[in-house]
Amino acid sequence: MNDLPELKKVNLGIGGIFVTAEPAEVSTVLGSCVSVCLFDESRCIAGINHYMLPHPHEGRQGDVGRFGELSIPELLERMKRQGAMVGQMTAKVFGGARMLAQFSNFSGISEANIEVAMNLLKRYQIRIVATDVGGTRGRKIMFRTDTGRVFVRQVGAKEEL
Amino acid sequence: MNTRGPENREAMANLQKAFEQGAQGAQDALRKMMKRDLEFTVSGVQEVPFDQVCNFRYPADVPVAMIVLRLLGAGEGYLVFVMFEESAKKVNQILWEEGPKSSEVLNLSSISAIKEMGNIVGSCFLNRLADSSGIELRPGEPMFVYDLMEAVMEALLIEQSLSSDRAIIVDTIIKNPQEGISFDILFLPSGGLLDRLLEGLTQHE
Repeated sequence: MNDLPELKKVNLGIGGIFVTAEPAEVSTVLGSCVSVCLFDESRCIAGINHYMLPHPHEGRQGDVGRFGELSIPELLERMKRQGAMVGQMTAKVFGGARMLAQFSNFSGISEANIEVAMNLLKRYQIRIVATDVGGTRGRKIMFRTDTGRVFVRQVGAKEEL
Repeated sequence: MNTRGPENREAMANLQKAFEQGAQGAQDALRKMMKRDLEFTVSGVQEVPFDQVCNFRYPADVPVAMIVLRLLGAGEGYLVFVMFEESAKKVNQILWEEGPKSSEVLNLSSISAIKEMGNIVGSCFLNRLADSSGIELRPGEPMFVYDLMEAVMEALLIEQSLSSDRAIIVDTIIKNPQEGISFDILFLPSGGLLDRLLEGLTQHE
């Protein structure tokens, strides 16, 4: 019987960026926020972020993790520092739900969060292999950094991507 | 963790006091509505980082029932009622005077009753805050949400995040231990409302 080492469990909060070459299961809960999961299968290096807004606003440039425009490039840089190659990476994008759609203040932010991910990944020429974005329900995602697989759970539904 | 200076700590204490007074009015209104004894406890006013708000008392990845009231009038923010599904069902049973049906999901009629409860309690709190501070505050139409705690909270915190990375929580617990009903109220002021409230509460003291 094989005694497999227990998988490291990581919870990623708002503004978080996590990169590793070790096996781990990274979980995060997404409403209107977006997470980009990057995986270099050839080197088994994985990274994930969780950002809240698409672009930084005045006086808040320092919060790299909170804004997609800053968080995604930072995620990519950390992957490269670990030895990952951009040309070998694939991406999966999650989140961007229109939570609390009744309150019109929130319209546009979810879509903008998704858009910044798609635009940046396209600019970096990173192939997007799966997405689960939009809708009006929250998501819990569990990202396996050793395989690149992502499990998605919504209230009343589960899926693997 | 309260990071404010001594004069602001006193002002925050005034805010807590206003909520305690609001809780008394809300307790009376809810007792009449539900014909039950309920305990209201305002345990404190806290300024917490966003990631702590999302996990406040409830696990981030557990579905919860929430009634969200947008603040209207001279301030911005939200008043949020949070409870596990079991408490929401029990509130529904009491309000509709039906027998125990633990497998029944929340339906439209039960949601409307819970929303009305949130509206009544929210009005009591906001009226008290308005009277104490001189700032017009009233609740908007209640919205019912059943979803993962963190997913909803992060949407609510988006406005707050434009000016701060911390939120104010006035932790209010409402309980009926005999019947297992328990829910919390979170007050999330944004856009400078907190500072104006604190100033108003101090001036009207």
